[in-house]
Amino acid sequence: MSNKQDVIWELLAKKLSGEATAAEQTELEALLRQHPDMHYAAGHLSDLWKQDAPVSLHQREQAFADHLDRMKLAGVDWDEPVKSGRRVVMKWLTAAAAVVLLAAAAWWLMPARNTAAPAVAEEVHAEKGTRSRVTLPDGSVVWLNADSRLTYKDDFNGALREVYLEGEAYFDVVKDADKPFIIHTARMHIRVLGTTFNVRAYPNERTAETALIRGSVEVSAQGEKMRPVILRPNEKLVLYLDGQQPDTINEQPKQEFAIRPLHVAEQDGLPLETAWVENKLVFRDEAFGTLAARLERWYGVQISLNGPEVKDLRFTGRFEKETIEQVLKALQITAEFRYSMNGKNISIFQQ
Amino acid sequence: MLKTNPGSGLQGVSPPCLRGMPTNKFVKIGDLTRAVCRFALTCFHNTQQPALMKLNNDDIAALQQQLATEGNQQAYKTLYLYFQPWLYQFAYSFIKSHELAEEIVSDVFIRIWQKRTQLREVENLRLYLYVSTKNHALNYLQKIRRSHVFNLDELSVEVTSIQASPEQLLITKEMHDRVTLAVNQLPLRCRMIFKLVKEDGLKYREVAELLGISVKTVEAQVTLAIKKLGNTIRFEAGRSTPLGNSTGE
Repeated sequence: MSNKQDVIWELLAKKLSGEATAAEQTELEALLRQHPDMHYAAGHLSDLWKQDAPVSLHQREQAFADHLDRMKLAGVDWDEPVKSGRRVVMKWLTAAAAVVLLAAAAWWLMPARNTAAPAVAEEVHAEKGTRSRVTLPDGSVVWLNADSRLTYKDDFNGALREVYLEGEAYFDVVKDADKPFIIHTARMHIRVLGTTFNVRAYPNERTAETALIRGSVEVSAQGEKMRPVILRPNEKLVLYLDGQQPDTINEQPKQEFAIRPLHVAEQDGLPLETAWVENKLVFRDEAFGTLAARLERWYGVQISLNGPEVKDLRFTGRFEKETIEQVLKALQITAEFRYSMNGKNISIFQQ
Repeated sequence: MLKTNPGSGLQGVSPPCLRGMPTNKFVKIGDLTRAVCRFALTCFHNTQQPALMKLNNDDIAALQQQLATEGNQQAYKTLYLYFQPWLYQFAYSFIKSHELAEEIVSDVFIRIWQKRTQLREVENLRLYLYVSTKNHALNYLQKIRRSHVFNLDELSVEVTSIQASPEQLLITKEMHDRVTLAVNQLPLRCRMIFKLVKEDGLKYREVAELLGISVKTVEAQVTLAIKKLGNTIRFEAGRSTPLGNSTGE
């Protein structure tokens, strides 16, 4: 009996896999007639076998878009028009129609526009103590952190999409394979096709960073011997400026740059590097020296550190709605220091 | 020149704070241009997109031919869309990293594009893609642990297609849970082989060649999976109908 069952399972497996011969299929049917108690299971298994795994077309399309980005970054020649036949005619007709539409639209909307106008720089600025969000002419969205400045020329959406950044910004760049999006900072140049990432390049900081959330970007450093680096999601490139060495002990000395994984917060699984976009002030094992500069920008205050040991105190914290005083009080719980506050001026003293 | 209001602190800045958004004519023209382009792209799409996602071996051979002889990008894309999820899952079972698995499949397809004219000589594109994916994955592993061998008993995959919703198959929640559990309890080697045959649509001899095992082993493992799932269904059906034979033995 159980031998016969095994034969049934084996033949059913073959049938479902498309491996069964006609004779085997007939044999299976005969066996199932002799064992009606197996009918239900065999039928049910056949139904289950027909079920497809749930992978949405959208997911596949997204994967393909990422794949094309990767191909471009790898310098693979994709835009090679080697086609023939009717489809291409259709394609050209559609393209021609699009061009006509575009021209008509431009004619309609631009009569008063001086085409010879020189490129004018647009500037978006977030003051200390503020953050702001801007949508660029191509639809890309940029969040600017406190004390940051983003400029772009009037011809931004021409052959290239170029912006200049001083400070910190989070970019969500709209995909446009024909127009690379390039961000220039004092020491880094970042080239992307469509992706989400954070750039930190404050003039008064010792490091500059590009942290990638998704997609891919290529980072090159100004005047360095370093070759362009392609980042993968959840990686960041940290550039040590002016040969400065990082201030943690376990770092390798004499490095010009490093590629690191992003810090992911345990609370919400989001990277620390972009918490500011959600209006969260997050820092991990950060020295008071650099943290003070961060607090200055975040709250628009002036902080002076007095005493040799204060700037080496290290803090980890996460704040959302707290005032600067509440933050300082919280920091006092983990380290010993005093502070005095006079309007926007704060002085920190050793205990 | 745009300036945001200087704020006095954190309060009053609500996420995501909308400020300093340029609304000149330039922006509007940009928007319109995009809309027109998107419209044009949609037209391209409709004329070219073949129906996804069931491709039989003849379809695949035809697409392979178009790619090899004309460098047809749409054929390439269709093949990518069809194979990517499966190759990705296969790569993931070796690498256990989403990013690396994605990258491996991408690398495999970059080579396919670069060497497309040579595809004429590839007899079985499906198997070729799986073998390439395996080789890429093993190369990665070699870099990490200096070993080029893999253990079939350590490659874990999920068989998501068996976990159909009860509504789709008119079965009880209990039955659904039992079957899902039974799939997850299959030995890793068995689950892997079962998945490659059932979901990825590989033939017994293709799985054998891919994993370096005999066709008999593949057959035995698929049979084992079918038997375990079948007996789970029989047992559960017997439990829920009082007249049924609970074990069938």
